[in-house]
Amino acid sequence: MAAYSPIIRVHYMSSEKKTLKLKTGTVSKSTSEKIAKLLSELYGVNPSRYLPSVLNYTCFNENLCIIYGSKLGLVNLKVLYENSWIAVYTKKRLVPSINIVRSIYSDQGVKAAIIVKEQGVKAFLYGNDILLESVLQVVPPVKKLFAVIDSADNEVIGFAAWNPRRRIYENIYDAGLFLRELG
Amino acid sequence: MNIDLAEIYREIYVEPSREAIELSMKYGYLPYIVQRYIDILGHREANKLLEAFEKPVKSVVRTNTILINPSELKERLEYLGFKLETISWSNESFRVISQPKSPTIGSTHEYLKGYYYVHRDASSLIPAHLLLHEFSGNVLDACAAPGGKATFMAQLLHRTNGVVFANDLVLYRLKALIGHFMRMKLNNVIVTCSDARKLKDKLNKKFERVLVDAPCSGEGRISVDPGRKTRTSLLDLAIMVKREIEILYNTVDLLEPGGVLVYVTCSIAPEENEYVVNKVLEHRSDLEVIEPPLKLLDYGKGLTEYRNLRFNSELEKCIRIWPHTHQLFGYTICLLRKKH
Repeated sequence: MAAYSPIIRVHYMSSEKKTLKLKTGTVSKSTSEKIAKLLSELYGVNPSRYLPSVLNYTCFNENLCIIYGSKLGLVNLKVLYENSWIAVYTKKRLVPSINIVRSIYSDQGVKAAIIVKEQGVKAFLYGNDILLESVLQVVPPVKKLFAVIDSADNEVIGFAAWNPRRRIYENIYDAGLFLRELG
Repeated sequence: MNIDLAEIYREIYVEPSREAIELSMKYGYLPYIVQRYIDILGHREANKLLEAFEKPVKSVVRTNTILINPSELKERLEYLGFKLETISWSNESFRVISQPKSPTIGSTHEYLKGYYYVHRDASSLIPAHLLLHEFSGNVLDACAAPGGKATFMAQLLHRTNGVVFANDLVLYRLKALIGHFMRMKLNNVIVTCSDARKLKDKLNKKFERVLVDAPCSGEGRISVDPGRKTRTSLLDLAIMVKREIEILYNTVDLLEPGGVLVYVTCSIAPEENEYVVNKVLEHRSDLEVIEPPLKLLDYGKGLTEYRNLRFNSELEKCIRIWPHTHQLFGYTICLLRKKH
């Protein structure tokens, strides 16, 4: 995924033997292009309006990397996160961030989304999939990936992908993921 | 600045009296800790403090005002069965008076969606209010994890595009901090991993506001972590004090002239607070102690003497939050300004 990936090893407190490894680095050109293509296909936007020129990443484990814009170039410091959260790499998929989609929706209105009832939202925020009967509305264009919107307050709470075989919307990531994975 | 651990140990050494030993046995403390409380407060008030540490504290919900307004959040949480009380001096925050069996305050959908942060106690709201009073600009939080103060400052600075530089050395704690920033959709933050003592050599930038919430003994949080009654020996304390002096001394270099630094610990130990600030003042003529810009509570005064130690008289301007008088975690806060 990346052109450069140093591993930061920092030990837990000395009483614990676990070692936490994080990978950080600059996102490769091909990954940047994939993100741009994703935004363009899903939302029909000009990606350059939403993507900073330099993207960095931090991987917490094999299943969770966050991608963010780098503006300041703090070269002497290990930067783990910067203000513009752009995308997530999880379940072997590259998915837009909740923040960037909120920003796109604020400019262009809701697209490629499912609006979900309370019961579905409850299940989804704990990492579960969304049953078809929990979906109040599908907002076109209908692609493989959908932003999940809570019908109670119209907030984006994550992303799901339609699985035609199981006839459910599979949880790709939800807002609760960061609490579950990052503590 | 050359700091001698042996000298610190010698200066902070406490020989407990018979009275302190008896009290420490009653409440399960290391005797030197109780001796200090008697020395600072007298026997009667020390007893009240030890009693206060036995009482549970109420956690606090701080609304993420970027996503929801406080009254709407209160309504939604009360609908779920939580009983909340507004904190008069921090009106975006509520004390949790009682809660339903399920969900817990840290597992509601509102929490997962980033609508609020849960503080163990209201004390931790005070430093951000004092540091950012009538301020817009960038802030350095030198020891930021797990993020209660950093997320609050990001929220307070959001409207003015101020950025919080949140730094910490401990990676697993930074991981949780990033989780909070993402959960709460706070965009005006930068998270870095570095020893606060070395930040000045790595960060080519100075700040008008700096928060140093130094890693400490946590002696003010005994009510939620009784293990702290016996965890810190005097030698451990001396080692912490040395690190606290080093952190404060070095982070002052990241302050702009005229800039304000808040030094805070969740500890009521004079060794970790007035002693630390006094040592740094002895070695830095470019620093002065200032009065807090806001009177959120009827603060306790900073100590100017303790046992046979005499501190700079300006340290009276520091703030002490006492569990037995404020019904909060014990905190000590000193505001320092870098002279022009």
